[in-house]
Amino acid sequence: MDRHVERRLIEKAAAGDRAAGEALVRAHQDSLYAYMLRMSGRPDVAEDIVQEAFVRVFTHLERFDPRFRFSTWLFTIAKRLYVNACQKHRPVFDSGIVEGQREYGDGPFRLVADGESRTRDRGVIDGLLDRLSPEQKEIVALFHQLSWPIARISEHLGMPEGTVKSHLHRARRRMRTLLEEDARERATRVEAVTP
Amino acid sequence: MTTEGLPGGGPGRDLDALIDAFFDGELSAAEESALLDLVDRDPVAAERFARTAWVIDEIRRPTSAPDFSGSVMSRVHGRRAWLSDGWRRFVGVGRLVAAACLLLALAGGLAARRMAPDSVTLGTQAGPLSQVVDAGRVEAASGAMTISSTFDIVRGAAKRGEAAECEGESHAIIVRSCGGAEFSGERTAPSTIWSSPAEASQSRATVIVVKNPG
Repeated sequence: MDRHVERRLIEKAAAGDRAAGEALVRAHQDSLYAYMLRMSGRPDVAEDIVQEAFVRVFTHLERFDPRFRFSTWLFTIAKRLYVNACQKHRPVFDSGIVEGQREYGDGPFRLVADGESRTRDRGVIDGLLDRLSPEQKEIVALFHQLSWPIARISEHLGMPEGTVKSHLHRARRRMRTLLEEDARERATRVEAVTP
Repeated sequence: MTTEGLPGGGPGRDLDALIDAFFDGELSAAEESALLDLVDRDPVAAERFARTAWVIDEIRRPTSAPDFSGSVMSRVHGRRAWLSDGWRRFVGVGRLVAAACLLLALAGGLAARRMAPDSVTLGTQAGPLSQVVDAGRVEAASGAMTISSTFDIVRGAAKRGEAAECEGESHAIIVRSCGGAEFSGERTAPSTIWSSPAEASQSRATVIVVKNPG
């Protein structure tokens, strides 16, 4: 969304325009939900946090500083809510994603090679991301899923750009290695079974 | 695996770094084509490239989010009032009117102070706040008694249906005409309207002149 259009919507929403508020929610809900789903691995947790983040933002809309991006503010609030929720109750993967993780244990590359369902592929990716450090996971989600530039991620996380890049490279390398290890393991198993 | 011989490669840059740079859009056109040539020729490079591409594609796959706009707005409504266009315009105009009234009140106060500087006197010496509060209470009580006695006189005159005598300076005049139309006003001397209640009666009107109780 164009920043001028967004600022106008924010001003209108702050003045009590419900339609402008709804437009802002619709403009940002997909990316925020995707980010929270990636971070938590649970749709119910992602939904709760996304709703609460929007409610907090709209309740304190007059505090918004137009020098910054609305999405940066929204994502920062959502992340804080997620961190607080994690401290209270550690999120647990739901049954579908847990199923994907089990499959990962038996070999994610097999799933890729066999062209299994997208849900299972998603489970594999969630499994891979879950084995990264929290910083790496978040940076991968922001960079590849939400297409945030490095400079914006650096601002959002309060981390130097070089560190962000380093985390990103290490994360991708780790995911490649995990997939390779799994492929080797699977090949060994197939050899053992073949007469 | 090293990438020596590639334009973007070298002893310090491995294949992974080159693949990452490709997906980050950091390679030049020449480096990109060299990497893709390598991927075509070398199965190891092809596999690593394919794994990275698959992971990135999977991460980028869009997620379908439910529509939160209705539920969010309903929850926010409890904490913040959402207004229709008409009401928002009304509130906007109301704010301007309130600001104008405030300015007028301030201007009126300043004008009154200039016209009658003795009407408002502020203490020049510092004193305890309790003294100021006590003085205010006394003044407020005195004002309330004055208003009360004025209304008592008016009520009594109206009940008797006769005009009160006008002597000296009056505080208020209430004129009730026989036709039913009413006029009320304030004068320092009632004679400027009617010289006496008798004259007022000739104009078929009831005049109640209330003496200044002070």
